[in-house]
Amino acid sequence: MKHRALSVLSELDARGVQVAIGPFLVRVRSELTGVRDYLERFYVDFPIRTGDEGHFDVAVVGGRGVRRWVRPQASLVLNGVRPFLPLPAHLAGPSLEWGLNWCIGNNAHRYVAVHAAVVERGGRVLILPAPPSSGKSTLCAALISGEWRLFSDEFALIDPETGQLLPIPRPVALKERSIEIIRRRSPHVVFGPEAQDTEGSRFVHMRPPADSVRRASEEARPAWLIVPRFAAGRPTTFEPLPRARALMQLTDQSFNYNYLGRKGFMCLAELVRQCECYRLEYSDLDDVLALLDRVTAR
Amino acid sequence: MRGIVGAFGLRGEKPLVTAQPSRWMAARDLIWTCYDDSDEWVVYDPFSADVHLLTASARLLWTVVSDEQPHAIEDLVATLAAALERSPDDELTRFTRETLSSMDRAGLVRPLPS
Repeated sequence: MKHRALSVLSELDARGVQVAIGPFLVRVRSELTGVRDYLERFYVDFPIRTGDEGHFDVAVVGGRGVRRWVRPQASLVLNGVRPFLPLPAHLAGPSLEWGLNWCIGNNAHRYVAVHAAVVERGGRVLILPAPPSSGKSTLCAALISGEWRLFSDEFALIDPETGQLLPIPRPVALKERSIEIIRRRSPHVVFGPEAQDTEGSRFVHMRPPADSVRRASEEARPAWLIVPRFAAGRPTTFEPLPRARALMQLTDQSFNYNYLGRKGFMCLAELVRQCECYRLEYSDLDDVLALLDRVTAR
Repeated sequence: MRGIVGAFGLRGEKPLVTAQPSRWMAARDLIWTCYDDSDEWVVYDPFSADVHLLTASARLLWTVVSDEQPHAIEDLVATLAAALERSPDDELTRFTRETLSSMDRAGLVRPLPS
């Protein structure tokens, strides 16, 4: 299966390939070797086949003319439009993730999408909604190195008809000091090369666990909503968060509840009703993992 | 009010209405949610798609305003005082005015001409 998936990548610069990622079929096209290398490294466990259709059409195209040779560039073409400025060509692979984020956040209005890391254990989902640089991806990476299943380090995707969370496992993005912390904790995991993003931050991607990818069609129900905040050198604090405030946090981090109107709001309000809600401040991963083990075992 | 400011480029100038409105009505079709772990309310306005967090007192004030009758500020203070079992003093009047003003900015109530 893996061999077939990899051989299919020869179609990347022609018809393109279809990658099944959670509920989405993504058509990927590129003539750049960086994209092929990226898919080989991080998407080896995903169902990939040839095809020219998909919910999202993501093309990563190289620069033309002198830009092929001098400071080469890569541009994202997402569903036929170029929403971003060209990037340095060495970011062609990772740009696939940024393009997918854009596609999901702007187009997946069948679901309510919230900026959050999401993991599952025992059929119950832990949602970690937070703005960037709050430590949610670090926490997520540490949790999936243990017994938790990765749903996403970027999106909580909720079906407003059922209230269930949908997995959309993809490579986990780690930044700055998180890179060394998670590398030390998970030496067996595949990481990509370190690079600098457009804001100048060091980052790497981490291959999602094969079991999470294999179970990407298994939805689960929400159980815990924890708003994390990394605070260097501070002791772990963990306190109940009133649900009304948790709902404000969720709407604040949602990409699209307003597109869905009443349905979107009611979906989030009901999700909060089903969850135990907490606020977490942490700096020590071992401490917080033990705490979350205790809380989620109840 | 925000729409007028944006459309005509009057940002930073004096508001068009400076006098305290004397009568109020509630916005319609709002969606309210509360939970059993606090007395705070979350309200969703489907027209603006905005969400607001309200204290129990603010929600009570909105409820009083929402009976489809225009309400004078003195009536609102008296009704609120009775519900909260306290006197309709200056502090409650100030709270009522400030809360109405906040709810007006959020689009939850609207002032009526006297």
